[in-house]
Amino acid sequence: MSCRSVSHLLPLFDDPELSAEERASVAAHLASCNECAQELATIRRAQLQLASWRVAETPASGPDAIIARLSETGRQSARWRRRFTRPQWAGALAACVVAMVLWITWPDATPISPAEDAQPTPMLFMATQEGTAPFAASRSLALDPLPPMPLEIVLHSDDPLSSGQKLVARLAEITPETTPILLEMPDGSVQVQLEAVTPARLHDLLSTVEQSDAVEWGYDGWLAHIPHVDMETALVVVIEATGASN
Amino acid sequence: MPVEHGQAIDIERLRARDPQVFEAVVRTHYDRVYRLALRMLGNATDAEDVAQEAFMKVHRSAPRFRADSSLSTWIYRITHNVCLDELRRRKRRPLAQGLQGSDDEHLAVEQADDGPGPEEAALSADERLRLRRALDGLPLEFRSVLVLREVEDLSYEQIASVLKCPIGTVRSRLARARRLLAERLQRSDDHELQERVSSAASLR
Repeated sequence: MSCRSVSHLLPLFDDPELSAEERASVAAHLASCNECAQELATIRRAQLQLASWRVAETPASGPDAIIARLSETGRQSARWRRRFTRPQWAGALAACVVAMVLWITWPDATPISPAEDAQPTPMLFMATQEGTAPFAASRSLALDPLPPMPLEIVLHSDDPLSSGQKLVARLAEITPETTPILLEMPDGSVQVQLEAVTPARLHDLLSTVEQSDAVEWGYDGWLAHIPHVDMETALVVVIEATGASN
Repeated sequence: MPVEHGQAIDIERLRARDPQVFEAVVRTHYDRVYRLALRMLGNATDAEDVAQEAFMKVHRSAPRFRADSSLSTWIYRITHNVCLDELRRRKRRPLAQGLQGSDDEHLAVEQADDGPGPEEAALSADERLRLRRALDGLPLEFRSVLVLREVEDLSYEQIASVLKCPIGTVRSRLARARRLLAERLQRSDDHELQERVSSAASLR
């Protein structure tokens, strides 16, 4: 058994989740390889340090502050509920529901079909949420029924700043109701942020931007995208140069 | 009715945002939430804020809680996501500010904050600082698995549920994260040794 063949298991050697065969193969290797045994010792030392870095006490007033804030929130939402369950609101609410259904099922909202030519698009489009694994399924942005949320467009290219400036200028033109913000990130990329956009609106925006040729990228109406189920979150769109665009 | 850590939580009452149930949830889970935030973010003030924010989200999302994951896993997941949001907010600095504020400044603030913090004396201040730096230097997905495993003692399966990723991903990330952390700590050991040697030499 070579060092390489056990290297992915070595740091997990002490974990009860390892199977008996896996543990046996690592143990057999360790018996004959001093280098790996030393590496395991270093890993164990670091592990022990991290585990002994305990938090002895947590702020005693922490839970009370939260409980007080929660009961305040509870009172407020009860007030809202009372207000919106008055009869005069019922009609308005029903109209909203009808509008929502229409909006979601509107035939125009079908995604534009992917580009037919085999030419590689200069930019790759994908939505991602930082810190999570790549998404399993892609879905149509135009049909996404998610509510408005903050949007971040991350640009990676040879000259992200000028792409970002063009994008901001174009967005300001087509969405006078929002104020896009341009940020230069420590890693050299550029972010364009909008306060609140629904995915469907984003689809409109990106289609329009593309047609304008202000920024050279490909957009086919589909995103690999995880809708966040637990809580509100930002929609993040990453645009990366996939080939020489100039 | 699932029993967690000796406390029975009525899921229906939780979904209905019953204040009594919520008080029990906050009291039972606060320490865990705070600890995770402290280790992810590195300072006590932010950890307290994030813990508050996390429980507000738990409260808001309660009607959608499905009992397919345990309550504590769900709360960990929400806390972890709030931590990522906070870290993302920190990274995001408007153009003008980004040119002025240096990373050293940021680190100094964190250290001052962490100084009299609630750490146990099991590690020296110096060891804690080096650990903090090593951990902060890791890519986020590695920091997350290390904290969830080594500090919070979760199983691979629980970590997978918190991070919403396959167990295989947890395994490979954890293996790489442990190796990286060990390398970084070793490097900072070597660095310190060198500094001691050179300062001893300059005394002579």
